[in-house]
Amino acid sequence: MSVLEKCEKIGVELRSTPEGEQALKYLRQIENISADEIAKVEFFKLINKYSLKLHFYAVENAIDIFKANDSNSEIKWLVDSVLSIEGLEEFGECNTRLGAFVQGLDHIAFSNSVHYQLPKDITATAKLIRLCNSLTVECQRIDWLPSFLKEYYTDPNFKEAISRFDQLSESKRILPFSRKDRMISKILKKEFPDSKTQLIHHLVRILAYIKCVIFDSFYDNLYEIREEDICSYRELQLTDCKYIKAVLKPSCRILDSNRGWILKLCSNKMPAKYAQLISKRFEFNSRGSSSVTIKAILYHGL
Amino acid sequence: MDRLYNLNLFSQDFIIGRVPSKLILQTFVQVGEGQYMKILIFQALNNAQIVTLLALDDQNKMIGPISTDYLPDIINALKSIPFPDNLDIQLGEMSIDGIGQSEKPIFVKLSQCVSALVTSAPTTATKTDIKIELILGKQLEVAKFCFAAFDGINTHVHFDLLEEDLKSCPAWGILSKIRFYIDGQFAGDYYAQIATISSCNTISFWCQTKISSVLDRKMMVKTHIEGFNIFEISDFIVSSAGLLNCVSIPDDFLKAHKWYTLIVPVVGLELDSEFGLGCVEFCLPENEEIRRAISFENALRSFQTYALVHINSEKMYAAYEQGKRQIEQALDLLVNLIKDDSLLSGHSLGSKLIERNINRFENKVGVAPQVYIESPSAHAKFSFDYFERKDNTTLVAKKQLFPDRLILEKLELLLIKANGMQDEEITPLFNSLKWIRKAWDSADYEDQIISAVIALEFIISKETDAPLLDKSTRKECVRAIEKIIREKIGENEGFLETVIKKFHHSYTEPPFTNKLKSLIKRLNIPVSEEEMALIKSARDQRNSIIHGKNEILMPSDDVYRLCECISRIAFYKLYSLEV
Repeated sequence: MSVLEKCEKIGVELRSTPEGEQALKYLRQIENISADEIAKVEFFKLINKYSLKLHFYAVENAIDIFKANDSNSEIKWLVDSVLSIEGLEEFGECNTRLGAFVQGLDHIAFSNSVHYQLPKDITATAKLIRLCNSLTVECQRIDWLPSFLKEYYTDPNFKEAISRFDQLSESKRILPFSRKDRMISKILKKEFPDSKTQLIHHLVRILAYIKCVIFDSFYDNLYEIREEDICSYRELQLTDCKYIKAVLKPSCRILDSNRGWILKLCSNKMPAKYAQLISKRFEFNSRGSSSVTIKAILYHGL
Repeated sequence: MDRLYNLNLFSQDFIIGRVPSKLILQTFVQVGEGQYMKILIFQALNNAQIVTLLALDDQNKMIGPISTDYLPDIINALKSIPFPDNLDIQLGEMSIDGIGQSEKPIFVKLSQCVSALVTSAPTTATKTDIKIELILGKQLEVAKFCFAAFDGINTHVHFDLLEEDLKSCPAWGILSKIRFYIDGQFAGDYYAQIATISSCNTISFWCQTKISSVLDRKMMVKTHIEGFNIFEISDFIVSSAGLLNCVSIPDDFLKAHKWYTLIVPVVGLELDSEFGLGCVEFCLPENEEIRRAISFENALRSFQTYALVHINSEKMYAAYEQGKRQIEQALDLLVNLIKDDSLLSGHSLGSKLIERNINRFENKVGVAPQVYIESPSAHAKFSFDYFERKDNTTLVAKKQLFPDRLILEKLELLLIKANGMQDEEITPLFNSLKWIRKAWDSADYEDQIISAVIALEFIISKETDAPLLDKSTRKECVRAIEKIIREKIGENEGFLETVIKKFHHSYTEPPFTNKLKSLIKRLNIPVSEEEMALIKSARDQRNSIIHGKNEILMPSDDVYRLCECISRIAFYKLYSLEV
């Protein structure tokens, strides 16, 4: 089972924890209440916008953003509508607890120094513990991880470079290979010429990615397509990943309720592949037919 | 034992008569009354059958010739050492026939392939006082002595003892420790592997350190290693033989916790689908991780069920032990769940109705000896079959092992008296023999300890000793108890009677150890202080086992020695009974 398949299973299993059940209960409540539809859409859009970096924390983060705009006269009507949604605060709290667990998971998954222990943030199920251990072991198989650990333990500049990376990325969603992503990479290389800063890039990208898979699979929000949904498919081999561009058949669920940015490509013959979506374009022609063009990054070894 | 050999010599290169050679053995041989010589045995690098003997002069720090006067003793001593690679055959053919006398050191042939540098001139032998101790505080003189070191671990000691000295140590058995003293200084513990009667009044002992005897008994076969570094593997192998933390790891070696995946096949269990219990996953052969293990080691292929667990640990052996324990615990839980006969799930804890049928004759569920360990971060794999070697030999009932006719006769008559029926006096003692046998035969450590202690309890059951409190003190205590209970609780005769009964039981029944000591004293049973400590430790461990506490395992040699000691006590008591 691949790293990302295990992440998906962790996301699914998180639903069985008391904290997960609570979060889903509040989500259903929020979806079903007769609040302003625009407010709900805007709230979830904001969560989705920040999910790549912030995963479960995106919920609390979205609430905070609305709260910070309380006195903004132009969108006051929207802010008031969103903040008046019943159960919003509780929904945020549940997500924060799940977020703390997922945040801790990468310490376990990508560190050699942490002992196994039951998580404190959530009431974990036995299956969840097994999946977490299994994910950790699978992560250890990632080829560049030993080099990362070696640098981490032996190069004092390396830890400094990690802090600098965090500072530059400002805890925001950064699309792989985007302008901002390339800029951060360039600055790091310049400021830390002797350190293998590319490894930091890899790690941070992948950590954000696996957290996002867990988050999206928890909310059943993976963008799942089957091989037969694709009418044209092109891929470009890059150093550590593949760039994918695919056009989906008009019969595919175009306006899918799933808003996620993780592509799950299912096949009858092979295990599912996962990719990080960087764009989804919907096209409607004058004859009323439609198609979706997706662009995604598929990382090797995940 | 460091005084008897020099470990550094093993790693040096030697040229003996222009032949590049390696040092394969260092010996310390008795060559006269209190006189000892160090003899080095070299083997040619290009021909393992060419062997040369030289003497090591410790005082002058030189390697030199052996005096021909000492050769007969040296040859006799070397013949008793078990050499590897058929070398013992070559060395067994050594003789001094035809050796000329020359003061100038010359190489002479002692057999077709063995030669020695000899001189007829006197060479220096070291005066050394060697004593051994079988029973604490009782040092004995050795009649003959030879020490041999193949390396730092594989060392042997041969010595002869006089029969009269041994008769003064009846509590010593071949499983007991032997302490060595060189010039009055303690020089280490050894264990006898073989004792033979060499002449009418001497017994020869061949001993090894506990370390080599343990290493010799454990077997790890069909090993297949890929990617693990030498330190990890060495530590694993040595630890698996009971020698934890014996391998020195270089300072620059990254000591950090790592993840290991342990996979072992489970026998006697079939799954309809995969599931997990605790940290353990029970998998089918088509599972991706199992397929990876099978592709590495074909011997894992022939199973239907596998247990898999991931463990985070600093050392591979600790991970293996922890993982194995987790698998065994998960299997205990699983078997208990499945064998449950209640109609409601989980021993009627649950509410789900379950169909049942009477079928309790399934195969025993257990783990197979095949083991697969993977270190994902190093992409390293390791598989092996691991078990305690059984020599696959039958216990031979040699007539010579039977006791004297009169003793046997009495034991036989007691057996006839008991006649397979319940005899109040005899049956508990024969029962104790049954439990000792169980302890000897069991492969499980906890079963061994529990069985041994049960055996001891059967022996002690009818023993009496002075109660902890004498009668008049007990009476006073009872009066005081009556008074307190009447004051605090009021008139409750039933309760008062129970408390007094419990008090009497506690203080009239002598403690176990007192009863055991009284029995040992009454029948003059030879039980050493070390054996008493072993019995105490076994009882503590039995209590830890049955109360679910963590126990420190006794080495297997000690368990056998415990059984031997309890068996001896049982025999003395049996023999003391009237027919």
